[in-house]
Order: sequence, then structure tokens, then C-alpha cells
Amino acid sequence: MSKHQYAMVMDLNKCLGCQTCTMACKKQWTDGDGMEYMYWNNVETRPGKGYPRNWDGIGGGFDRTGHLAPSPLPSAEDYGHAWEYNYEDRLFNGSQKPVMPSGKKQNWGPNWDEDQGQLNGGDSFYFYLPRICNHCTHPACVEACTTKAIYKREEDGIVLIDPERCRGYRHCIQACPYKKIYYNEVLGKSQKCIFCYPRLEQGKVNACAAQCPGRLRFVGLLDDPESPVHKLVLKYKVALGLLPERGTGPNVYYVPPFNPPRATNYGKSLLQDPRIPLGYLRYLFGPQVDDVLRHLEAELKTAQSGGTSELLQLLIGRDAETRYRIVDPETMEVIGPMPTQQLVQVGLINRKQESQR
Amino acid sequence: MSESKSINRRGFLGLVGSGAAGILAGCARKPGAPLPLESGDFDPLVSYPYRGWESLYRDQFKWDKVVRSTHSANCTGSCSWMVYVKDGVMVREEQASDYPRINSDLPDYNPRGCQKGACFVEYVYGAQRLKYPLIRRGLRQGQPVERGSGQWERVSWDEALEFIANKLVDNVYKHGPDTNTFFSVIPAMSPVSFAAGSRLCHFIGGVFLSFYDWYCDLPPGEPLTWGVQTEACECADWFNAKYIVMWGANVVQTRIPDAHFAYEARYNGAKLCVISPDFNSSAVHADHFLQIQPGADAMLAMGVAKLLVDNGWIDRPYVTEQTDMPLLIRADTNRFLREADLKTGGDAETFYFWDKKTGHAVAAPGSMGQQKKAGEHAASIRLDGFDPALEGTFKVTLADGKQIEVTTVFEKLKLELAKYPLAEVAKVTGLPAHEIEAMARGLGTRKPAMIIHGAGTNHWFHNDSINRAMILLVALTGNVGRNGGGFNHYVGQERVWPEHGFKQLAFPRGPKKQRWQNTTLWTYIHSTNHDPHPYGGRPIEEWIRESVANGWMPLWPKNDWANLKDIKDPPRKPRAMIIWRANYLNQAKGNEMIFDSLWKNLDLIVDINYRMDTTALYSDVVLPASSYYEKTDLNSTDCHSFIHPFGKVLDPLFESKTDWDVFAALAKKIAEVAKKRDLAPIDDVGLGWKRDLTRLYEDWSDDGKLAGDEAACNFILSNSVETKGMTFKDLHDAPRRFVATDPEVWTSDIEPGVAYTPFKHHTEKKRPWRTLTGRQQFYIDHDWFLKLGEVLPSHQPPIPEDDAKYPLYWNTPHGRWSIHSTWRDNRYMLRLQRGVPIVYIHPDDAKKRGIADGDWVRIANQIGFAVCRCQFLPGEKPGRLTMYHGWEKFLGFGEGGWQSLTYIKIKPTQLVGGYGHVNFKLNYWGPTGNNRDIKVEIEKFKGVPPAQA
Amino acid sequence: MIRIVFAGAVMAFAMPVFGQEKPASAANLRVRVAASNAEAKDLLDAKASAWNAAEPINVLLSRTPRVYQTEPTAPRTAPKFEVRAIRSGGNLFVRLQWEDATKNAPQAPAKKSGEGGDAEKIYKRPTGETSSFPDVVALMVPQEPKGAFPSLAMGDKNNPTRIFYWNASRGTQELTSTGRAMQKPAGRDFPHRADHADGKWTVVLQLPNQPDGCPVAFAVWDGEHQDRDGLKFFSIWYVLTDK
Repeated sequence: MSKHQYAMVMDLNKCLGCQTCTMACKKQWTDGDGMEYMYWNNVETRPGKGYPRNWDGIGGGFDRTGHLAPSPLPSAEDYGHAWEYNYEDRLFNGSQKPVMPSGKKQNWGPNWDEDQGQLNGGDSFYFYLPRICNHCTHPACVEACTTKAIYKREEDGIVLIDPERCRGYRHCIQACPYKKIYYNEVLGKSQKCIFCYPRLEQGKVNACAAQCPGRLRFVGLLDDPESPVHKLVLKYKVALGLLPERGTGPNVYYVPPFNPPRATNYGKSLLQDPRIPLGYLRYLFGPQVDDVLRHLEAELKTAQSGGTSELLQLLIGRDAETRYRIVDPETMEVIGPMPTQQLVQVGLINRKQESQR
Repeated sequence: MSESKSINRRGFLGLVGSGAAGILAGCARKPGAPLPLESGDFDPLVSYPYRGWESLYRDQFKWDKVVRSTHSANCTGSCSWMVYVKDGVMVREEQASDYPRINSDLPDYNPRGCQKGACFVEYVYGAQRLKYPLIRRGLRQGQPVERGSGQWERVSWDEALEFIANKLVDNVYKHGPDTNTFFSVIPAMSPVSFAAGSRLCHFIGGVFLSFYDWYCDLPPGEPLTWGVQTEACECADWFNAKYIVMWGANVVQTRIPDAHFAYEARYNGAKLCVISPDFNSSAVHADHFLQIQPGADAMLAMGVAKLLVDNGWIDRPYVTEQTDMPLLIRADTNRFLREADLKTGGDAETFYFWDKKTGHAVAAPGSMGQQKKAGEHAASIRLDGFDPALEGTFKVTLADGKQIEVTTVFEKLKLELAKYPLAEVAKVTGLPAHEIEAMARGLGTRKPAMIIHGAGTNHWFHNDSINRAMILLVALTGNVGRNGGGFNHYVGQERVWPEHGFKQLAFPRGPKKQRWQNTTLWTYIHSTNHDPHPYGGRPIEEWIRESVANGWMPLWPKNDWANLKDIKDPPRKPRAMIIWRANYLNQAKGNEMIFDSLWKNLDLIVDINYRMDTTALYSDVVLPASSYYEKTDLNSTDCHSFIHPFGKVLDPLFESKTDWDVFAALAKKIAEVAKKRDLAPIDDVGLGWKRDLTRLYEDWSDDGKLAGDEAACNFILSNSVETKGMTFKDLHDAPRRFVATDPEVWTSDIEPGVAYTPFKHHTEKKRPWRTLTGRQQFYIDHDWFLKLGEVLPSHQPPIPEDDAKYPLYWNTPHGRWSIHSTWRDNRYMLRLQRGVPIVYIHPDDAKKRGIADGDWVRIANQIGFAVCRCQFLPGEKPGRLTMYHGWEKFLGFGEGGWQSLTYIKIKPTQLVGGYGHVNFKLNYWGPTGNNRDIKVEIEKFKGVPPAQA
Repeated sequence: MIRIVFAGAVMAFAMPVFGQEKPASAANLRVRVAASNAEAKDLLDAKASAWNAAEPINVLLSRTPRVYQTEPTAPRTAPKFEVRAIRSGGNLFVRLQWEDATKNAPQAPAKKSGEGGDAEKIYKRPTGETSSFPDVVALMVPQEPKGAFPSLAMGDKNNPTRIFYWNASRGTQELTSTGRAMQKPAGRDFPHRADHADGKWTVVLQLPNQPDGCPVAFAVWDGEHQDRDGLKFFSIWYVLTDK
């Protein structure tokens, strides 16, 4: 049991599906040999098959009796190959054939069903679901690793794979209900999201959060009453884990999504014949999603009729200091993000503008 | 043990989901419970003995140096980035995230940047990167391979420049300076790189092409109604709105760094209404989504305007003071009542309203005529106690004693609006009447209210009518010129904030000494593009000839247009085209026609680029430019009020040079050639300029004062009030907010602690608007507008095509995966798509045609065809196909490209001039290169799809 | 966690004989070691005549019990597994031959090379397969040949083992281990030659000498069935016996 637990909250009503988080993570951590196909952070359009293809349909996590319920291993096709392109042939070497991706035909990729969603009667519905490792409280990967090369950091609950002791057996991949562990064939090891611990240790928030232009991510220790994640998950109770019945206790939480009312439904409650069928949201976020949506709708109504919603004001997340609270888990002293005032002192912002605030 | 654990787990399963339960519940195995000897005597859930390896990732998070820069991809983002260098290689970038807060209530601009900016380093070293000067094989030997064959001869800079210089000099002396044509887009993203070439064009008398109107980013309704190019609030001002209509703008895809302001505004009490034919990415988080019929936007706007008027949801004092609604119109001619009508010798630019107090027609203050009398700065639109009537008909006596009836523009508007009853509007737009009413109520009763507008609607042929109808909504409700309100159009990046310094750098001897050209017109005339539709009963060519003959629109090279029989076959043709910071050919409407006409007529095409794009591939000479991370320049946007730099992260790689150094070298080489040939100065009579090409470098570099690009940056900064007191070095600390605005350029001040929003000089300081009437002018009584029935805002249906043969609209909007063509060919981006160009189709349209998701398809119309893959999109509007634009012609298409189906259509109302504020000005007024009214058919592709060998 | 309980049982009985047709008796738990003065390069050749002189021992393999929840449930039959051993020039040569219908030796594809741009900066070596596993064989001896028989589960605290491990994708690796999940790479590999033909693997390993009477155990993994880790066929302890 770790002393503290880092957690992330993602407000799905702010997600742009822009994949900047995906690219931030890719260029930060997974740009090396054997890693091109892997996206520790991915964003998938829901409803959809996701990445790897059908990950939520094949098993993983624990069954009702508390035993591991492993899935088959996804194949490389389920992730999609990282295509290479024959630019030189067309651009420099006189070929008249178009530049094309490698492989006979492209059949899947990490964002293959982008913006597709489904029809609910005549109305289309979809939303974006960003996913990283959930750094679970009861990690199925740790349970499944026979070499015990996976562990939870005692000071902050981050789940890591020790590359020196990993043997590439991939029991962890089969056990993970979120399929957030990836096999590196070049190294013969499994790899996963490290919750950017080298950044956090320097008071810098995770790359996927720091670079998110939608500003939908909130980061802090779940057990730190001052942290925005504590407030959203435990105080306001508007953030839910993904597929809770898989029993791993995920520590990434989601503010569930609304779509606008269906055509001709404007003015009705969002829970009355909603564009996104409630059954689908219950499947993803559990039965509590109804209460959370009701709560959010009420808060939105307050704000839009001239009142102020404390909760929504927090979700606005005006600046990094509001969205993230990074502390030294030993002393609980705040080490990031660096408030803008401090930026001024270290000369990153000139004083003239400061006086304009 | 397994038993006890199962119970334990069930215990915890019971709790899962109840908030904290996740962490509070016991873990899978009781921590510290006896462990099996053979698997090591530690519990990885409690502690781990081998953590030494963790330094591995800590070491990966270390850098040699970090440099501030940004991107120059015709993007409105203007995002400040830090580029990380390790072992002399650029490895990644991260947003600088240090834009200062404007005030403590407004959300800040951090982090500013998108997925594309996060992988630009791919282009720095990528396979498309241009490393050396290249010349089309055989060209110098007189046996050239075809353009676009991808066969090159690697040459030295000196050889390449000599080849170009000789051709340009030949053209100047043998064919005239107006046969050399220069094309580069939007200076704001990198004004110094832009000015490098525009200065050279300026000093050799070349023709400089427009881009903002050509790419249809210009909203023609703004110059018509407001006399400005485009005026929008900075995006932080969205947060001040209480009602936001996203109309033809999909900000989630096209304004990624700014979209958060809209959703945060929603949490702050705004209602968000999205109007689009498809359930687009921005609609996903809206309060109200109206799935409108393509091309029916002005219909909806006029219908809503009627509801605003009928329900009294209009701001009468505002409308009376700030718009032309009270101005008097002659019943007999449908023209404004002018001073010249009432007094002999009176001017034609003074207008009247009916003062209810005195019961007389009174000259309305602030019109162009009144300004001339009062002096521009003394002039004001203050009503000075007058009480103008918005409604009514009145009698006035003309100078010749004849008495006529006059009425107000507002009365005329009400007559026009009567043509848009709700039932009819609902039918044409395909929207439920009560939902249209709901939108009108939101717009009319929630203040402030704004329309966020974009290319989705602006790219229609009738974009001017659509703009004017939408602007009407926010003007009637008094939302223009107020924080959180207005009609805010964001497409392309039209203007440089420090404009004065930039203009001096780019065109040093001023606009009168420069040949300007609207590119839409130029491309239409010099290619086999042909629009068969008659307008007002005349072929478009006749409208064009009249406009050019009247001197309303320029058309280079110069001809005797008035006496020319066929304007499509002018005797003089452009001969050379120099392109930098742009991908003209790939992005050109009707590029199939351009290939076999304009492209054949040009005998020199030079492309200056860091990557081999479609235009470079089809050029004669390709010069390697340094990438965005290897140059020094400035960067600003209309989306925010800050300026920040391009820092040289590394010196130019391979044999590349910065744009500034490329044109410096070309200027030197041209001078050298002129000296070698011992050429006497040429008398450029057209511009009254004796040009001495032997001094070209001295002219270009202002006798060496502008030798380097940092000097050029400082020239701009020190010659603009917006950047008073800033030096290029300062900008490396952090983005800096502009300190003032040039009143000649901007319509509001920069106020500390306030988001910039335009037109406050008019709404607060009561300065006249920059229009003929000095007011927001909805009534345009120009001959052609009268002839074409567009005096007032109105709905004009899309241009009809052969709908039986081609039933589907061809929609090519801006998307999230590229900035136009940049990033379209980037591996890191393509891997997050389907790897090749795809066309979105509604499943019903597909099934009708036996097409399955992912099939290869053939899309065709009377212009051409394209072969590509398709993707089902349930949120698409049936009857429409969407392909997000910018795909490079050379990547992923079986045949053709997204522009193979388009052609240029010019709207006569956009050819007018000689009317008060409506006159040609580069990128401000001229025909737009619209492309929404295209129809196509689609079928399953029967041939063999392309694949990598 | 059932696996843990079960593995405990493995400890208790020391020599489990799961699912074998006939019980193994001490008499035939020997690997006869022939002597030869042939050179290493020759002995690494499985077809070298010297191998004819070495007595073929059919080592009986058993399937590990289904203690891994990730293991497929389908019953599996143990492959025929033949061992020959030769001592020569201070080395122990072991020739292992076993039935395996399919060769499983997945390799990560080579990285793309290109002329445009800066190839070495832009191309990475990709992962080609994520769900395939190689065929593997391993040979285990105690670190202290004179000591007690270590646990078959890769030794134990008091009786560490040396494991000579060959992997069809990655070649050889020597490990030391004091029990399951306690193996550590010794940072050494050793000469070998491997060949798959006629539904058989033949692998010759050149090991550091092991004394007469040294216990030795074997294990085989079939990549085709995603064998890895404890999902394998294993033998009980045999004894190296010089002629």
C-alpha cells in the first residue's frame, strides 16, 4: 500500500480530441527503437473499438471472485503498425507512383475510428476518451507478473516496470484490463506509462497534462485535500474511474461527457432521451454516472442562469496552479507548478507585463 | 490463502466506484501477507528493493539546451514553443507556457500549441527535407524532363542563383517587370521572411500576389459593412461572452490552442450554440446543435434577424447611432439621399436621417463627406441631440424642386426580412422552427453575444451575402464593439500587429510604387479555368472586363483591357513565378486547369522551401530554406495580443539558408548579372521609377543596414507603436503584450487588464466607421449591387450544378491534422489518421452506392476526379462528402487530388470599386477564391489501389 | 494467487512427476558424458561424427501444472527430448534435440534506411509482432555441484543454480538464480549452434565444464503455444555421469 497516490482527472467535456497529449508523450518517451507503434497516452473516439482494437472487449482485471481474468494478447495488427513512407522515390528519385505507407493495406491504427461514433436514431453521438496507465490501487499487472518486475512506488503509488528484471513474458499485458502495457520486441521487454515521474520529481506536471491545449487534466495526490483531484473525486464526486467492475481501482478519473440534446430536444434535461445513451456511459463509468451527470447539469444550469458554480469555476482551471498541485510526497511541500509570479523573479516574464495584470 | 484473498477482493469489489473506495479498500493481497519463498521475499505493492534503474528515465529528461521558437505554417496559432536539443540534435518541443495573464479573471493562454507543433522536428530531419539547391534535370542543358517528374540535378547555390537571376533580368528588360510574379502568404507568422522576397519584388518592379482573398479567408462582408479587412477579438475575449454561436467555425479542429476559452466560457455562464451541417468536433460539447442544410446559412441568419426585429430584441439606441439603419433612401431610385440630391454642388458622400425633433432631414455626422468638411479627426458620429427616426416614410424636396418620398434603411430591411417567414426558413435550413426561435432568443436576450465565424461558411460563393446577414444579427443586438460580443472571423492570419514597421520593411517606397494583384482574378485569367454560369444574365468574363476597364481591379501583366475582345486570351502573359512560404499549386482551386495552362506558360518557377511540397516538386529550381527552427523572425496573430520570436535553435542545417539570406544572395546575384551585362537603368514608366539593377543589393539591404535578419526584426519593432521599446533580444524572455495600437490600423486601444476587442473607437470614442456613411453600412447602393439585387443582406442559394449527375456537395474544410498542406505528409501525424487521404461519407450515402467503410472510391464531376479511401461518418450530413483539405497531390491518392474537382468562380459583387470604402486593396478587397458550391458523385473504385512497392 | 500455493507444493515434494506415463526411477536419471578431443568448432556441429559416440538419453519431460491464470487450458503432450553430452578441452558440449513442428524465432524487423533527410536521425527499429514468443531450451545445474539438489523451481536461497538459456530469437544467456523470479543475468553468453529441420530442433551448447555427478535439469518452451516463463515442459534432476 503506497503512502500517497498520484491521480489524474480528465474533464471529457473539455477534450478536443487533438492528440497533443499523444504527441507530447510520444516525443517525450516512446520515440525509440521498438516503440513506434506504442502510445502510452492515446485518445480514442467513443463509441469505437479503441486502441488496441477492442481492448475493452477481451478481458483483463479481476473476476468477481477476485482472480485474474486475463485476456488474449493483442496482436500487432490490433495496435496498428507504425507506417513508414517512401517519400524519396516520388520526390527525389523520379518515381511517378504516389508516396504510400508501408504494408499492403492499412486496416487499423491508434486513431482509426476518429470522429465516427454511432447513430442514436438519426442523431450521431461521440466523444473523446484520452487514456494513460491508470496506476491502479490494485494493479492486475503486478499480480500477474511472475518475475515481480512491476511495482507501486511506495511514496506516490506510481506503477513502474523494472526494465532490468522484466523478462518480456507479457502476463501483465494479458492481465491489464486497459491494455496499457506494451511489448517492445527490440528490447524484449514490456513498457508502460511512467506518469512522468522524472518531471513530477522536478515539480513539472506530466507531459500529457502540461501540453494539453484543452486544459482538461488535473493532477495531484488523491489524499492531499488541497489538490484539485482530491476535490473533484472526493469532495464534489464528479469524476469516475473507467470500467470500475474490472476491480483494479484505477487512479485516472473522468468527468463524464455530455453531448448536446438530440435534434428537437433543446430545452429538455440532458438525461431525458440524451444523445449519448446512458447505458453506454454506465458501461464505461459504472452506475454512478447518472448521479454525476445530474449533478453536472444542475451546476451548469446555475452558471448559465447567472449564478456561480464553485465546481465549474474549478473545472475552468484558469491557470496551471489551479489544475495541478505537485508536492514532495515526503514533506507534502508544494514543488510545482511554478507560479507565474516566480516566473517573473527568475526573469522568464518581464516586469512591464506583470504590472499589466 | 487464495481463499482469504478472494474474500478480501470481494470485500473490496463491493466498494469499488464509491469515490475514495478505490484507494481506501484493501489491496488484492493483504500487503505484507506471507510471501512465497520462491518468488523473492518482497512485496511489490509495499516496497521494491531494486529501484536503482529509475535513473534511466531521469537521464532521458535532460537536455543540452532549450531555445524559444515557433512555427510559420500559415497558422493563426502563433504559439511560443521551447525546442529541446540533445547531442546537437533537436529531439522534441514543448509549449513555452509563459504567456502572461491578461487579468486574474480571464483564463490564461497556456499551454498554447497543438499536436502539429509538438512534432515539427520531424520536418527538420525528415525525408521531405530539402538539403541542397536542385534544378529540374536537363533544364540547363536545354533538354528538360517534365515538371513534377521528381528528377533533379544537384547544383551549387551560385549556379542556381545565376540561372534565376538571368531569367528575371531578361524578363525585366525584354518583357517588362510586370511579367515577374511573386507569391508568399500571410506575413504575420514571419514578417521578416515575407519581407525578404517582397522587398526584392518591390525593387525589380515585380507583381505581388494576394493570398487572403485568394484562399477565401477574407470575409468580404467586413470590408463592405465596416470598411475593414477583418477585425476580431483576441480569443481570451470569448470568455467574456454569455452567448456564443459557432457558425462555420469548428474551433476544436482549427483553433486548437483557443478552443478552451469557449468551453471555459460555458462553465462561466455562457450558452454555446453550434451551427453546422455535420455533428462536428466542436458540436460535441455544445449546449445547442443546429444541423443545418449546407448553403442555407444566410437563410437562417435572415430568419433570425426577422425574429429579433419582430420580438423587439434589438438595441435601438445602438442601431440608431452606430449603423446606417436610420439613413434615408430615395423611394424612386433606391439610392441613399445625398447632399448632391438636395443642393446643387452638394457632395455625394453626405447622407441624411430624419430628425424626429425638428421633423427635418438632417445630414448624418461622420460620413466620408462630413469627415472631409470637419476634418477626419474632428469628425464624430455623436448624434448631438438629434433624434433620428428608424421607421417611417417622409417627403423631401430635391435641388430641382421635385418632391420625392424617402424612407429609412431600417424600413427597407423590414421589407427584405418579410421574405423570410419562419416556416420557409425552417424548410430551407432543415431546422425545427422552435429551435430557430430558441437560437434567436439566446442571441437577442443574452448579453454579450458573439458569433465565432470561420471558413465553413466563408468558402461559399455567396460569402459576402452570408457575412452581411450574420453581421446584421450582432449589430441589431448592439454586440459589435463590446467585449464578449461581435462577429469574430478567424480564418488565416491576415494582419501583422506591428504593421507600420512591417510595411516599411516589406514595401519600402510605399503602396503606390508597387504592383499588386488579386490572385483569384490572376489565376482565373491566366489559366483555362472557366465558370459557365451567367451572372445577372452576363458571362463572368464580361463583368471582369468591365471591372478591369473601369480600373476597379488590377490585372497584370498590363494589357489594353478595354479594347481586348477576349479577356481570357490576353497577349501578355506572366513569365516567372517566385514562390516562398507557400504551396500555391497544391492549394490552388482548379489546379488541374493550372497544370495545362498557366504552368505551361511560365518559363521559370522557383520554389524556396524547407521541404519538397507539391509546388516545389513541380518547379524548375528549388532552393533549400532553413526550417522554422533555424531562423530569426517575429510571430504574432489576431488570436492573441502578444508577440514572440523565432530563435535560431541551430544554425541552418545542410546547405539551407534563411529566407532573408536567400533573397540577399539573389539580390547580389541580380546586381552582378546586371553589371556583367553592363545594363543601363531601365525606366519603369508605369510606376515612374528609374531602376538601376546594378545597385539592387544596396537598395534591398538599405545600404547594408538590413544585412541580417535580426536587424530586420529590430527594424519592425522600432518602427511600430505596438512594439515601442521592445528589442528582439527582449522577446526571448517571454511573449510580450503589445503596448499600444496604431489608430490608422486598429479600431480599439490595447488596455492593460482587458482582452482586445475591435471597434471600441466607434462604439466608445464615437469615431466614424471606415465606410462611405461612417456607420456600419448594411445598405450598399452601388450600381452592381442594385443590378444583382444585393443592396441589403440577403440569402442567395448556392450556385446550381448538374445535380442529377453530381448530387453530392464536395466539402473541403480546414481540419485538425494539418495547417493547409503542412503536416499533411508528416509520418507522426499520418500514423494517427488512416495513413492516406480519406473522404468522409454518411453511411446511408455509402450503402446506396455499395461502398463499405475503408473502401477505395472514385469521386468525380465535370472538372476532374480523385481516387482515395473513404471513412464512414454517421455525423456527416447525407448529401455531402467531406475531405479535410491540404493533402499533398503526391501522397496517398490513386489519382487526382482534393483540388481536382474544384474550379474558380468569381462573384461580380466582389469585382466592384470606386464606391466610398469599397476599392481594391491587396488582401482587403478583391474576389475570393471560394470552393464550397462544388458538386460531385462517388462510386466504389474498381481499379487497383496504389501501394508501396 | 493459486499459483503461489501450488508452487509451494512443488517445493514440498521436490520431485513431482506430473502426468508422466511411467514413474521415473533413479536408475535412468543419468546423462552419460562421452569424452572426445575434437575441436569446439567441430563439436558445435550437431552432425559431427563425434556425436555418434555419445549415448542418446531420452529425457522425460513433464508439463508444468496449470498454475498460471494466463495459461491456455488445452492439454499438451510432452515432446520427445534427447540429450547427448561430450566433454572436450575443458568444456562440456551438450546436444539437445526435441520435437517441435513449428519453428518460432520472431525477430524485430530491420530499421528503414533512406536517402532523404537525415536517415539515422529519423528511422527507428520497429516492433513487428507483439503476441509471438520464441522457442526456448534451458539447462540448469547447481552453482555448487557437490551440494544438495536445489529446488527445481530455479533453485532456492541455500542452493543457487546456474541456468544456461537459449532463445530462438535472442541466442544464449547465462543466468544465476535462487528461486522463481530471482534469476539474474550473469552478464555472459556462451557458444551455441541451433538448427530446426524435419519438425525438430537440434541445439548444441558449449558450456563451462561441469564435474562428474553434477545434477542437471532441462526445460523446453514452445513459442507456437505462447510458452514462456513457467509455461513449459521440464525434467526432474538428472545426473551427469562420465563413462
